Amino acid sequence: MKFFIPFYNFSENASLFIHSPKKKFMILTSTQQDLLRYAYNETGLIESDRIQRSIDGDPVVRQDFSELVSVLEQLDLASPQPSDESIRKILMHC
Amino acid sequence: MAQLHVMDDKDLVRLYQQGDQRAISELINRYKQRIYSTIYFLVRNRELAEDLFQDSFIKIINSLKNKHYSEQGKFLPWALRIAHNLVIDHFRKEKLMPLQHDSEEYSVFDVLPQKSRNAAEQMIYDEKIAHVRALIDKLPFEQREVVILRHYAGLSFKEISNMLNININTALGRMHYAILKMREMIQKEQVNLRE
Repeated sequence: MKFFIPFYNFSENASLFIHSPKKKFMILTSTQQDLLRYAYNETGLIESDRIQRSIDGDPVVRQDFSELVSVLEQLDLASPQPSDESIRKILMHC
Repeated sequence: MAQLHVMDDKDLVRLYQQGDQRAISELINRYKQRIYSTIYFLVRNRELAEDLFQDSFIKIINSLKNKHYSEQGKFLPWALRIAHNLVIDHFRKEKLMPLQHDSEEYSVFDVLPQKSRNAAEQMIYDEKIAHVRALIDKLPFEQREVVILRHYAGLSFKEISNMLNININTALGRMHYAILKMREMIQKEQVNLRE
């Protein structure tokens, strides 16, 4: 498996809020690009936590992430291998 | 004696350059699937993929022998860049974009490792694999390239952006649109099946 499936905590219906000078509170939602980087374990701890909270707290984000993981799981099925003959020819060259 | 499979790439390269042939076998074994998958999904032809895979590793080995490998870079992105350049060179020589397909009766997936499945299970498994391959094939080249490098080659989006000389957001955007397109194709097929 080449991507990371995080632990879901659906019971925690948490949305994440930050202070904004113009608006008192603004909801931070995870973008599709954040979800992609998260699915491939390319986010740091703090960012991962923010994204996971977004997944847990926002049904739309949760649905998007679930569909993303589903496509990535399908991609996992099709990983071709080189033939033994190719490997033998390469090793002969060493 | 050091266990080769736990050694990092840098040490394996050094060992090979000192004359230990086992080190290059370990590197080939470690990355053969990622490099082959990348080439195969770009050219979509098994025979050509096998040739380019051999050429890539021969070039990699020659570069290592001639000490052209810089330890500043990671081995896999460096090796993939060599493979990717050979694929692009091939298209330039042939003056074509990757449109060749394997014939119906000859599939790359014939050489996939077979787990213990009975005939019916194997048939379903083969169909699933062919289905996924068809999804990837239908993507525009630029999107397919990013899907392959991220999912099969295992490069990070940052590494992909460096390799293809594109912005990281462009790489992420291409991957995102590829996922949307594949999802859309899957949903259409499900609707067609229901009808």
